[in-house]
Amino acid sequence: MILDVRYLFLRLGQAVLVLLLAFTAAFILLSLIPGDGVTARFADPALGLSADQIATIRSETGADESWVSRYFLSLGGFLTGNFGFSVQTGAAVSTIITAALPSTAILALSGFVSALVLAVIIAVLATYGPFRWLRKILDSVPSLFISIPVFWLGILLIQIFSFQLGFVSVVSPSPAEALVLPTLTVAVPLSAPITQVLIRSITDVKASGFVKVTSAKGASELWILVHSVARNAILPGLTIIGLVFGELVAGAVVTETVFGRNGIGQITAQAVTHRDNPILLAVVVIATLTYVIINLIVDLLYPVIDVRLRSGAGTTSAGKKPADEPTRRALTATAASVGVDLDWDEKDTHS
Amino acid sequence: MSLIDTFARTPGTGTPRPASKRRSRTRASLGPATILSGLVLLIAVLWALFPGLFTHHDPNDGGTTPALLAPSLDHWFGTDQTGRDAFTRVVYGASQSLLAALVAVGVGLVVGTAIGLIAGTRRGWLDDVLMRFIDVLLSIPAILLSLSIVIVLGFGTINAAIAVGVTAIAQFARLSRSEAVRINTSDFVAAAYGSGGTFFSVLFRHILPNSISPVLSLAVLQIGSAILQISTLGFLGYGTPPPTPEWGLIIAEGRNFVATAWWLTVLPGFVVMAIVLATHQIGNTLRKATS
Repeated sequence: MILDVRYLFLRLGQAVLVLLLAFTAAFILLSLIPGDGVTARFADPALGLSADQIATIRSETGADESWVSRYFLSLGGFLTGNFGFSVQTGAAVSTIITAALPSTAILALSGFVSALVLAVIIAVLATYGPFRWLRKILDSVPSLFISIPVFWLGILLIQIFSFQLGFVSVVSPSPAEALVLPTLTVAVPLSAPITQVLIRSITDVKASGFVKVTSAKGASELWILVHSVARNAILPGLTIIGLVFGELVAGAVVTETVFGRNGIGQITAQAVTHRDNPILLAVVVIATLTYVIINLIVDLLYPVIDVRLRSGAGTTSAGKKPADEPTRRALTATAASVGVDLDWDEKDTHS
Repeated sequence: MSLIDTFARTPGTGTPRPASKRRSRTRASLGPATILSGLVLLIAVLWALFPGLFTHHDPNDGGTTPALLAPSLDHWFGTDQTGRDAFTRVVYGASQSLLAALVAVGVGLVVGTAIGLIAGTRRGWLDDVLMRFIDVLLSIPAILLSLSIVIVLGFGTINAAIAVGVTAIAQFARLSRSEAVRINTSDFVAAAYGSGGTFFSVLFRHILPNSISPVLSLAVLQIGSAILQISTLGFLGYGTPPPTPEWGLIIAEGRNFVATAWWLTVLPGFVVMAIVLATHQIGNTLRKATS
């Protein structure tokens, strides 16, 4: 059996708990501490509202309820897709976000796919590349990429490709053309941790016994790369995919601001500038939901991809461990070196 | 194993490690890249402490200098839209950016390590509660977490630094917890409790000193990403208000002249990148030496 039902429910329960706690934390931070957004917005004397009118608005929007009922009202709203209203414009937050979501989703997807392609190319060249000096240089590319300020990269790309070379037009580019530079801006920093982990796991798999045996049997380098190394290097790669989502969000916020793309990232930045807490609350909750779902899927995919991790398969009975011990250690070390926190201790030291 | 061995060994490494071997390992990792990184960091720190030594221009007043001059011997990074020397602004910006990075890492280090050590030594329900809290911190994307805190605290360098620091708490907590769990089960901690040590005396005299070195090397590693995150917040306009020079803000201001004055964005960006790269290099060297 590929999926253990008990494990599935355990992970689902954990995910729901973390989400609920994250919502609570974000609610306290963005809705409770700032107090009453309605009064702050409508008490402005320039609007000329009487105290009675403000009181009516307050009761209509639920601002004069106790914090407990505000919490449950807000929670119920989020569960039914009603995220409240923007303080700045008064529009429904759900409408604003729905309008901006497609553009960000396209950017995130194209940025992520490009990062993956970039990472695979760099990792394969850094491990199988023709010259020693080339491999050495490529090996240090991830630490270079992780050190680039994303906003600066975006400006630099505009400068080089739009103003110097004239490849991408600045004034009214086509949608596809307008996507090229933002995609690159998102992809470069995103590719760094993926490359790092791929290089490490390819090196580890290359050095392992079964690859040497296959090589001794006369298989070519390419055959080994495709059939043995790639398949075994995918698992650590999958882990890191779940973890770079945060980078992707940061990339979207900065990139959309630099390129003036209308999307969730730009809305977030504007919400902070205008102190529009309801919008930020909704973005935080939606992003956290996405992060938790991605990691849930990644966790549940392990046993599907790696037969050794299926419970009851073979004699090793690796259980739920995402990877074997040496890989885990290598991964944690490399991930830490690029600033990603990989933590495996939950299952083995927590008991 | 003799009694002396039991007490003399470094906890957790399992076998006693001769001091000489350890030193040679550290020296072997001090390659040219690390030395160069040390130099870069040294210069950045000197910029922050004594900016006047490196430039004789005023960071906030261009005087009669023409605007948007290209880089030259007198103005290394050119001049901006009001004739201010761009290199001077980068030099003076170091104090803002580095101070903010130190505050951010300090917040993450102190709060995170406290949570991790308490969770790892107390265990039980407290451990569960604290670690669920850390899970929540990790599940909210870092930039959104820091923006949520900035929106509550208000804009400014120190507020931005605190916001960035909160996003680092989780990593410090997890690392120090796993260290504390490991040390808590060792013989010398049992011996310390056995000879009458209280929870806090054991925590401060045995667990904290023995778990601190990997935590400190994580701190050095975090400085680089803190500089990046703070400059990002500065770029978005949530850090220091103008005209105070801050690296993110300097690049944001230069952005309007991207077509005519490339030097105002490109050159400061290279400086930030070199400094972040240098802290990563030093942090990695330290991490290899301490693990």
